[in-house]
Amino acid sequence: MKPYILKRHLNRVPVFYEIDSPEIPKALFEAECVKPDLTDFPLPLPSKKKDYTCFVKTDDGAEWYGATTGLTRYDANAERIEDKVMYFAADRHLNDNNVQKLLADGNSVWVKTETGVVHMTFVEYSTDEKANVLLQESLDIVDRRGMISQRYLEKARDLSTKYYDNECDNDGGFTAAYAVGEIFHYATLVREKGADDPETLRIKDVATRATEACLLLFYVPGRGDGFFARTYMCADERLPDDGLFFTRKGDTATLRDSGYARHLNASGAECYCGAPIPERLKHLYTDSGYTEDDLIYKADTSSDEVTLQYLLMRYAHEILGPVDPELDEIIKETIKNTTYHFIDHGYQMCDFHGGPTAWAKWNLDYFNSEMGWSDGALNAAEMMFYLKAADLVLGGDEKIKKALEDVYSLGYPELATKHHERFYKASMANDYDLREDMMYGDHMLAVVSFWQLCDLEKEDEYLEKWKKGFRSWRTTIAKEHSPCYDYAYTLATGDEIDMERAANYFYRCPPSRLASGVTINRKDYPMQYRFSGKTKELSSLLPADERFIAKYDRNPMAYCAEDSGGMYCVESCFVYTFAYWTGRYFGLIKGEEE
Amino acid sequence: MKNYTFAVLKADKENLSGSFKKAIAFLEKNENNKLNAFYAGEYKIIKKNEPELFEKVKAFVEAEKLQPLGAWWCESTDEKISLENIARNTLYSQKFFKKNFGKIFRTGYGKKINNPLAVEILFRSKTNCYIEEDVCAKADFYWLDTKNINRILGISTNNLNIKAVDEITSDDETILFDDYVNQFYNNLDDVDAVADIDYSDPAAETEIEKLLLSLETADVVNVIKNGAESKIKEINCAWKNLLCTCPCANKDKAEEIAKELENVEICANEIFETTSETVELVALKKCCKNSDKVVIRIRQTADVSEKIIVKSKLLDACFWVDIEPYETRSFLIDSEGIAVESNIIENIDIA
Repeated sequence: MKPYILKRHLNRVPVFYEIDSPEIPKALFEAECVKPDLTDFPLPLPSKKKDYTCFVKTDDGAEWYGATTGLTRYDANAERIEDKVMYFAADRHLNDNNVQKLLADGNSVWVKTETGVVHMTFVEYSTDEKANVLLQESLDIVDRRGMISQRYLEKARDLSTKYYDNECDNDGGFTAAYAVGEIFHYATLVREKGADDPETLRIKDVATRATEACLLLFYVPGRGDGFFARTYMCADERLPDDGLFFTRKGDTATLRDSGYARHLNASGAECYCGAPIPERLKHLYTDSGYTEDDLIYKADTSSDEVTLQYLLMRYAHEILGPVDPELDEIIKETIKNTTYHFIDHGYQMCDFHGGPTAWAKWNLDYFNSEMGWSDGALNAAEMMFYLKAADLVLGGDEKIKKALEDVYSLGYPELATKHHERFYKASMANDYDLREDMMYGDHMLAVVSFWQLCDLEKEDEYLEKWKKGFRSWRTTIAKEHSPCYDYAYTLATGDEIDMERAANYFYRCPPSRLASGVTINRKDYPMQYRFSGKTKELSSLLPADERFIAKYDRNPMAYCAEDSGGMYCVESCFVYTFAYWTGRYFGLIKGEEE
Repeated sequence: MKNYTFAVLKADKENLSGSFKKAIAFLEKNENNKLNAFYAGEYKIIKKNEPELFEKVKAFVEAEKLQPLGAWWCESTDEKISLENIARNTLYSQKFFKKNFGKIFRTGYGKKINNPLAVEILFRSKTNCYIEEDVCAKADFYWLDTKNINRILGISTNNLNIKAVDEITSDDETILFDDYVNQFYNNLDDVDAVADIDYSDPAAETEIEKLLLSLETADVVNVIKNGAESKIKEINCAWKNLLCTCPCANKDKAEEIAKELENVEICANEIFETTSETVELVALKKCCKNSDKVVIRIRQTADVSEKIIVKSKLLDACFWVDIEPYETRSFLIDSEGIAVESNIIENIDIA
C-alpha cells in the first residue's frame, strides 16, 4: 500500500496579553470597525451574519471577521475545504468571544475582545515536527517519573506553573499507549536515519523510560503473584479520596482509608509486598530520592490497564528487546507472571481480598451476568489477545497454550463476534441508542484487542472471526474518524478507511495539549439530542483545534466545551503520537519531506 | 360529524372457519353492515384450507364491506415488538392484500406503538393511520411522530364507538376504518409516502431489508449488515414512554387536523443543496401552518461516510453534517438559518 503523504500545515499559536500590556500596538485600539459584507458567503459560518462587526485582511490574503460571538478566518485559497473557514473562540484562542477590534500584522492578527488582547499567530509544522513539539511538551510538563498522562497547572494557560504531583486513574494504560507510540517512533527512525543517529538514540531513551515506568507498576505492589497497579504515588504527593491506595512499609502494604475502601469495609487491610522490584526499574523513584517505603500504589486494576500494558509488552519485546536484553528479560518475566495470574484465578485479576477487581473479569460467570453480558464480546477478545501476546513474548509456553485451547473450547472466539448484537440489545433495554450508551474508552480496548488478534493469527478460520469481531465495532468507532483506530482497523481487516479524514486530525491537532476549552454554541455545527434526550452531540466532528481536548476515552462528537481541567491542565501527547507513529511505522502515512 | 360505529371481529383461533362464517352472516344480515375483521395471516389460512369460503370473503372485501385488521400478519401478544417484526408483519400483510384483494389498506389496528422507528415503518409501508388499542388519549385524533418529519394519524380505540358484531343493532351506522379516515385525508393515496413499495412485486420480501436499511439510524443498518443472521427477531425494543403523540387538547376535531395537514406543504421553492454526490434531499416541509421553521431531511444513498455541507440561500442556513452509509438525518431550521438536529419535530399547535 502506498503511504498517504501528509503535508506541512499551519498551526494556531495564540499569544495572550493583558489589555494594558505595553507590547500591544496602539493601532489596535484605534482600528476602525468595518462590518464585512457576508451576504453571499459560500461556506458555513460559525457566527450569525448579523453578529459580525469588523474585518481585516492579512498579507496571506485571508480575511478575518470579528463577531460578538468569536473570530472567523476565511482563506478562499486554502487547499482543503476544512481549512477555508476557521473559528477562534474562548477559552482556547480568545479571552472572551466579544471581538471589538482587529489589526492585521503580516499573516497574523491582533484581536481585542472585551477582556483582553490576543495576538493570533501561525506556525508551520510538518506532521513529524508537530509530533516532536508535542512530545517535548509532554516530557517537559506531563512526565511524572516516566508516567505520561496529564498534569495540572496552578495558573491558567501558564505551563511554567505545573503542580509537582498529579495522580491519574489510568496512568499505566495511558503511559503504555504513549510508550508504544514512542517505540514505533524509535523503530521508524532506525529505519530512516539509522540506529546510531542521535535523534534515534534520544527517542530510544524516551521509549525505554516510558516502558520502564509501565513495567514498574507490575512490581510496585510487591505481591509476587502477577497482580499489578494502576498507578503509584510517593509519600509527599496528594492522594485523591477515590480508589484503593496501599502504603508500603517493609513487607506489608496497608490499605489507606478512602471512600471506596470504606465502601468495601476494608480500610486498614494488609497484604504482602515483599516481592522484589527489579534493580533496573528502581531509578524511576530513587532518582527523586524515594525508597520502596515511600511508594503508595493504587490497586483495583482494570482491563483498560491490562490491554494497553500487553500491547506495550508485545512491541517493547519485539522492538526494544533485541537491543536491550535486560529489559526484555523483565518483560518476559512480567508477562508470564501476570498471565499465569489470570489463568490460575479463572481468567480474572484478583485483588487483596481474593476476589476479582471491579473491571478485570474475563470468565463465563461475568459474561453471563447482567453487568457483563454486553461486555462479553470485548472481554473475550481481550483475554485471547493477552494469551496470544504472552505466548509470543515467551516464545511458546505450554500453560498458556493450554489456556488458549481452554478459552476456545468455552466459545470465546464465537462470543468475540457478538459485540454489536449484545450491545444493541442492551442499549435498547436501557432506552439509549448505541452512541450514547457507549463507554468510549472501550473503543481503544476493542481496537487494540482485535488489531492484535488479527495480527497474531495464523489460521484463516480464526482470522475471519477476528475481522468479524472488529467490524462489529465499526458503527460507533468509524464516527470518531480517529487515525489511531482507523489505522489499526485497516491494518487488521484490510478494509478501506478514509485517509483524508484521518489526516485531518494531524493537520488540525493543536501543537499544545493544553486542554483549554472551546465554544460549541455555533451556527455551522447544529446540536442534536440523541435518542434518550439526555445526551447532546454536534452534527459533525469539529476540527481538532476547535474541539475539546481529551484522551481516547470520550465521545469526540459530544456537545462538550472542555474535558479534564481546561486551561489548568496539560494532556499527554499520546493521542497524536501513538496514532502518528503507528501510521508511520506501518507505512500508512509519510511526511512530505521524508 | 356522524356518530359512526365500528363493528370489529377478531378470530377465534380454535375455530377460524367459524369466525369467518360468522363475519359473512353479519354482512349478509344487513346490506348496510360493514365489518373490520381478522388479520392477514388468518385470511391466508382460510384461502388455503377453504377456498370457497375465501372467495365469499374476498367478494365482501372487494365490495368494500369488509376490511382486514392491519397492518399485522397476526395479532401480536407481545407488548414489546421488534422493528423487524413490525416490518415483516406490515409488509407481508400489504403484499398479501395487494395480491389477493388488489389493494392495500391504509389504516392499521393493534397494540399501541411506543417507538418512533416503528411509526416510521408503518408510514413507509403506507399505513397512514393507526388505531391503537386502549391508549389513553385525550384527543380523538393525534399525531404519531417519527424521528423526522413523518407522522401518521393516531386514533385510540377508547375514542371510537367500537362494538362486537353481536352488539350491533339496526341503529348503528357501521363503517370501515379506511373509509372513516379517508374523510379527513380526502384520499389516503394523496398522502405522500417515502417508500413506494410495489406490493405486487414477487420480490417484495426484499423490501423488508430495504425498508429497514432506509431507516434513519445507521445502527439498524448495522444490525442488518453485520449481524443479521443474528437474533434481530429477538430484539425486543424496550423503548418505553416514547409515545410521540400530540393530543390536540383544545380543538380535537378531526376536520381541523385534516385541514392542518393540507397546510403542511412541500416548499418547492426552497433550494437546498449539499456538497455530496450521493446524499439526496428527501423532504422539505414547513413545520406547520404559520410556522417560520422548515424541516429538511437528507439521506445518504450510498455505502459512504462523508462530511458534507448543507446549504440553503433562502433561509441563510449553511452547516456541516457527518452522514454515515444509508443514514437519514433531519434538521429543523429557523428563520435566522439556525439549524438544530431534530429527532422529534415539534407538535402542531392547532390552537
